[in-house]
Amino acid sequence: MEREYLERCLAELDEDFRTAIELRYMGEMSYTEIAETMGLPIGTVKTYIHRGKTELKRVMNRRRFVDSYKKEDRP
Amino acid sequence: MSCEKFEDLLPRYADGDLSAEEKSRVDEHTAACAACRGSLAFYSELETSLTSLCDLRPSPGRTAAAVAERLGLRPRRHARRSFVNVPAIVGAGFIVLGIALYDFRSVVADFFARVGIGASNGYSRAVTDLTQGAVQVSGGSEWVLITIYAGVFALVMLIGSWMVLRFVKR
Repeated sequence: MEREYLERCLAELDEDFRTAIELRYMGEMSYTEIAETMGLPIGTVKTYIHRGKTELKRVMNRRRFVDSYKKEDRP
Repeated sequence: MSCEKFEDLLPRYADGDLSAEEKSRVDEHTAACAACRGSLAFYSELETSLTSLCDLRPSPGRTAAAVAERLGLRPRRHARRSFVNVPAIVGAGFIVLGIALYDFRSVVADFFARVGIGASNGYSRAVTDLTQGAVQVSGGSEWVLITIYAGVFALVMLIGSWMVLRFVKR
C-alpha cells in the first residue's frame, strides 16, 4: 500500500477516527495515552480505531471503483 | 454467524485485540468464507502499512528512544505527576491560618477559656499573646487594632494564595 495513497484515504475519514488512528500509528501512543489525549474512555478509542479501519476499507474500495470507472471512460 | 457480524471483528483480529474465543470464531469463519478471508488479508496489510507510517515520520517518543539507545541510556519512563504538592498544602495552611486568626480568634480563645485549659494550651496562649501584643501596639485604639488584624490577615492570605496558585499550576 503506497504511503501517499494511504494518507489521502486517511484524510477522508471522520476527524475522530482519523485522530485516533494517527495518534496510534504515527504518534506511537498506547490506547491509554490516546484516551487521555482525546479525553475519551479506552473502549471508545478502540472503537474509533477499528471503525476507522473499516471506514478506510470503504474509502479505498470507493476510490478503486471510481478509478476503474475513469479508466474505462477514457477514449 | 453472518459476514456482516465479522466485519467489526476483522480489524480487531489484525490488531491482535481479540480474545482467544473470538479469534477461534474468526479463524473458523474465514476458513470457510473467501470474502472475509480477503477482508482479513486487507486489514493485515493495512496494519503493516499504518505501522510503517511512523518508520518514515519520526515521532518525539521514537526520537527520544533512538537517542537514549545511541547514548547507551535506559529510556526514562514517563514521570507520574504527584498529587501531593507540599508547597500548595503549606499555602492552603496559610489561608486557613489567616481565616483562623481573623475570624475565629475570639471563638477559639473563648472555647479554651471555657474548657479551662487556656493557660496550659500552647495555641490558646499564642492567640492570647498575639491579641495582647496587638492591643499594646494599637495603644488601645479599636481602629488601629482592626487595621493590624486586617493587615496580618491580608498578608497571610496573600502568601497562601500565591503559594497555592504558583505550585498548583506547575
